[in-house]
Amino acid sequence: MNREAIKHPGLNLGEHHGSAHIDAEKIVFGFWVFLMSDLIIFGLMFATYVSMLSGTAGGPGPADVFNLKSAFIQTMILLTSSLTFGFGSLAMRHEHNPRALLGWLAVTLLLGIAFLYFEGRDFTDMFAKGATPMRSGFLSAFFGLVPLHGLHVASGCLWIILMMVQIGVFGMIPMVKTRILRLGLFWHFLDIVWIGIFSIVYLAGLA
Amino acid sequence: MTRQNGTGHILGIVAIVGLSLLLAGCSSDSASFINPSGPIAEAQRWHLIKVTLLTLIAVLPVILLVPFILWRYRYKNKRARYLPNWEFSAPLEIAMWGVPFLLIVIISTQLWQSTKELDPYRPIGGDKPPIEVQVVGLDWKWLFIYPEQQIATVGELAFPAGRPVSLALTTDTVMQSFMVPALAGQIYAMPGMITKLHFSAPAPGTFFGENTQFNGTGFTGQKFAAKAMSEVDFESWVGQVKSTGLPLDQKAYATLGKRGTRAEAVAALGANGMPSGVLYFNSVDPAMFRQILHKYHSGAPVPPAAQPGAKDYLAEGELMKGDLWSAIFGRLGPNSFPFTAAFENPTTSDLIAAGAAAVVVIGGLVAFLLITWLRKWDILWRDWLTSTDHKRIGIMYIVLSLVMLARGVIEGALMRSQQAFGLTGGFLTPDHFSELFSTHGTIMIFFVAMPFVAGFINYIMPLQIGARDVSFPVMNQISLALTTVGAALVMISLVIGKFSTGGWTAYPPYTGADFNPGPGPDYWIWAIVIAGFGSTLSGINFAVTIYKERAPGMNLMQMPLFCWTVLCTAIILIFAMPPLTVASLMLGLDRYLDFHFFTNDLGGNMMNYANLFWLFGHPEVYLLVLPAYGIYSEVVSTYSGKTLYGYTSLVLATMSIAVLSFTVWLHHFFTMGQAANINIAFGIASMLIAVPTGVKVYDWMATMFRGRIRMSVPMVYTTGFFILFVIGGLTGVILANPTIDYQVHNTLFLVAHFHNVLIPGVLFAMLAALNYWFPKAFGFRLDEKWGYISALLWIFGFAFTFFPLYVVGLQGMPRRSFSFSDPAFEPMMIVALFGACLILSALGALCIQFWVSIRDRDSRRVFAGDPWNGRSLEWAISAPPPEYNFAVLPTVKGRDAFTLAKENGYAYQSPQEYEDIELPRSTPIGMIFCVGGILLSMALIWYIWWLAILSLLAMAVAFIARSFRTDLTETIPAAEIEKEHRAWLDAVAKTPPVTRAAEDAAENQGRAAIERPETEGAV
Repeated sequence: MNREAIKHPGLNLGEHHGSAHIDAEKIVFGFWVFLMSDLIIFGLMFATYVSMLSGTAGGPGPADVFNLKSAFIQTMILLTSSLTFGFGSLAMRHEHNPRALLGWLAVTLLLGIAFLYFEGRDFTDMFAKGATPMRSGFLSAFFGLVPLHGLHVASGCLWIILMMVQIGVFGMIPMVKTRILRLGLFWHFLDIVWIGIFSIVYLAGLA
Repeated sequence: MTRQNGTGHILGIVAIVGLSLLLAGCSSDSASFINPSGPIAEAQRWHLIKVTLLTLIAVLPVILLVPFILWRYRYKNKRARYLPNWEFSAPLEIAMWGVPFLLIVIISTQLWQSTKELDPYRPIGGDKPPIEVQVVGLDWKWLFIYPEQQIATVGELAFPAGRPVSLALTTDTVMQSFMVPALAGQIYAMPGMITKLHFSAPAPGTFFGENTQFNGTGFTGQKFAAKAMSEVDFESWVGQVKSTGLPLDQKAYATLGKRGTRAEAVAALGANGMPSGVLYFNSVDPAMFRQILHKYHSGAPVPPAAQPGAKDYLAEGELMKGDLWSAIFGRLGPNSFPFTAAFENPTTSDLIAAGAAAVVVIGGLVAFLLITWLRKWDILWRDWLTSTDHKRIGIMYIVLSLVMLARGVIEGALMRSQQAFGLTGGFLTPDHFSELFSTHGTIMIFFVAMPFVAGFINYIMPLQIGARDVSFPVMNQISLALTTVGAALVMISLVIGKFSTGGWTAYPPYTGADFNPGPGPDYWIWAIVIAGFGSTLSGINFAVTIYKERAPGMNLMQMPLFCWTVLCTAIILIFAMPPLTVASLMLGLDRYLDFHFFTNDLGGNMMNYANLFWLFGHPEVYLLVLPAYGIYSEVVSTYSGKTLYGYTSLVLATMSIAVLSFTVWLHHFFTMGQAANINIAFGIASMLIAVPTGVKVYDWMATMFRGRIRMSVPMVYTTGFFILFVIGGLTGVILANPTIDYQVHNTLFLVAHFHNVLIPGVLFAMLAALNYWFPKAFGFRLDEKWGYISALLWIFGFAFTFFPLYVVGLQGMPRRSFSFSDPAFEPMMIVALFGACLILSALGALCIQFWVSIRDRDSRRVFAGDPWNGRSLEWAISAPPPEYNFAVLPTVKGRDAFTLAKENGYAYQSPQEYEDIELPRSTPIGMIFCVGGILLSMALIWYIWWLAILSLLAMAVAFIARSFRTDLTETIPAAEIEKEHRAWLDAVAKTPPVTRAAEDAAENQGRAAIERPETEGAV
């Protein structure tokens, strides 16, 4: 593919997709910019978290409440879901039967829900140990950061469901294709943020 | 033209008067660092004088040369050289960048040295041991504990002259700022933390001390006397304290901590034998200071009842009762309406509040009835509220900001009136005054400046780059809707409940649930968060539009300078809005869900808020002022009849400012106790911004140099900007020096400074732009006479209002003071009130200007579209432009695309063929978000949970439903476009071209005659 044919960073639909490929240029670029802004939000939440590590106020600290095994499982689930979404994107780019895309989206959705299940279980455990956000500045910062990512995953899941419905209703029209491109960026973005959470919150917290 | 050129001279005089006012402050008798009584304050004064003189080297040439250039190169002076295409000179460039840079390097070394030397944490050397005093800030008094002597006082800080004083400070309530102007300046005191301040007084004397950080209604009374006395006198003073004092036990401390004035505490404790107004304590637990400090680190929650200042606030909160009423209406009650208070117990303050509420209600009703009576609902809905046209959205932004401007200006005038009578207490209650400065700041920044800027960006930028619309027109509509939600909340807070009293920066813990449980801070949070989302989306939209929608042939370096500034603003919006969103949502989590981001207890840290807020707050200033610079660039170039001098320089300067704007946030709290080296780094970074800013001003002057300048209304604003803004720049460099900031932080000097950059910098640009682009948007020119009157009133009004504030600020008058006790401040306050009256008249003149122009619009039409001999593409189309902007997208061959076209004879051409144009359809989604957003915020503010869920769901459903629509565009057929375009071209052909001499005459129907330089003098 020559330079001219690449309309935006990331996976391009390719010229054989006609107007969808052309539309994608500004739409996907705009979404990159949005993610950049969202990343600043996460960056600030990370900075706040690190600056409040000492603010445990006599309450539980990282070693008391984090469950590394569960966090590792979540990491694996989320990374796998990125892979499955990638397969879905390739299926779309190569114009396979939409059912292939639908299948990959469904797998991704299930993995996303599984991730949320494990994360929710972690939070319930923490609450049971008295580690609520009301307990200390440290826990406030933790619950400001990690569930914010979870909230993003949850909206990603809703978005996947919506796109599965729209594929069913409209078929692979340009509008649907550019939306799936954006959803893909969003989903991979959440992986990157999670790697930050896993390293800075969980690994560093238990090191 | 002579009349208007006189303007320049008058402005020069005003500037000089302003400077002499500053110097007048320097010779005042008031007990401030201008009249220092100790080595620290004296060094601070010398540093101020040094920095001022050095900066004047860069500033004075502007003040002197601008009037000269305006006069020499006036349009009528055909003998002066006219070089319309002069745009670069290497030696000039080197001087423009080099001289300011050198100056900043020199000042930086001074800054470095003095910040190290005068670091408040640095003990003062000498042979005598320092005397230690522990300072505890309470609402609203200072407690001084002498651990060595085991005594304590309230309201009096005595110490032996000649011996260094070493203070350790904290508070047992919200954040405060301890200041003794004549000796040392100030430092913040914060709960659970220690800050330090060292100073000494060589000779005995009594000095004035205060708290400069607003911390509630009694804040102006939180003063004390700092008394330096001889060793002997000090010993006998200690004896007197011991003999007449009370024991400072837990009970006495609890009484002291109770929210109230010092006089109330004196009355409660009984002060027999003590000097009037102060309290002495003859025994103190040596661990008391440590206990106060450690209370917040104990690991146990410190409920409001255990935070002395907080518990009384709790009683004021309207708490949920858990009955049916509160299930339906949340915490709304009969007392939530200002009418109730005005009816039950009418005071001036209550009547004003009720009057303001009435204006909102009646204004809304009148608008509603007027629209109904004129049968305009249909048009309003179809053509405006549901429109996705960037031009209509731009106009709506500007209308919104003009409405809010009226309120903001009236509030400003009200505050000036209160302070003019402040020596005797004024006529407003402290709470009402606090609400006024909080809404005034919030409105002026978020709902005047931001929408004004967003409005012009929306209207002009797509036209200048030759685009049909912004990249995401529906998202654009939603941005406007969200901004409107914020503005609506601030308006509603006049009628239902009360707005925050925590200032526009809303610093916790004062705005936290412990100290302010009422709905006020929640109004602030939701107005800011929701409008902030809108601004982030705008930023994304503008950036993508500039990157992706430029007309064929237009590379980035051919964009009009305004578009460059918009690009930088967009980037700043994308990166700087998130910190605000994060900070205000964290504050919301603290308030709603009992999180501990910024609370005093359980590991919260309010300093994180200050960092996050200013990480937004400083770039914010530049995202406002950069487009203003862009507007000045367009105005100066157009009305000088010249291409912009130093385009590349200006682009580089704009970019530098955008980048530097993210590196200076800490200068908003130099006095929060961080290490001197940190202050030095941020101080130097702050001053560096002066270099590209200076370059810009010089570039504009070079643009006017050898031009043919018409002193139009926008040029009057621009002239006012040049002369006043460089004074704001001067005080900015002064404030960037931590050494001086220890004295003028939190004073009216700061208030004067930021008004000095925001009013001439941003507001004048907006008003210039209003006069400049109004004919483009509405097809007729604004009335010049009332335009001049309004411009001059704004300029002089600004000068008279804010220059006096510099003086009292140097004298140490804290900002946000609803009253004051030093009679030396009064004359300046009265001058400032006079200035405020001028500004009110300026607003009135602006209204008259609109009225007269609309009345006479038929004789002022400029349908041909180019009334000012414009240079960029927006002037190449009809006025007002068609919905699709360009019948055929223009091909750009260079900078000043329209001037190129006119000079090379290819302007106003009809294309070979026309094509269908696809435009986005109208949509009500913005209105759904607007109404839904208001309901959601009101529900959250008043704890009406069912409504919150319902409105959130409604918005989500609307959003998802819209994602199922595929008929998002409509097509305008080529034939219709051809007909419209040809009709306009015919009209242009019939329009007689006029020279610039007839610019403000009726002959100017929007077609400019080409005027070339006479051979003599031309190159």
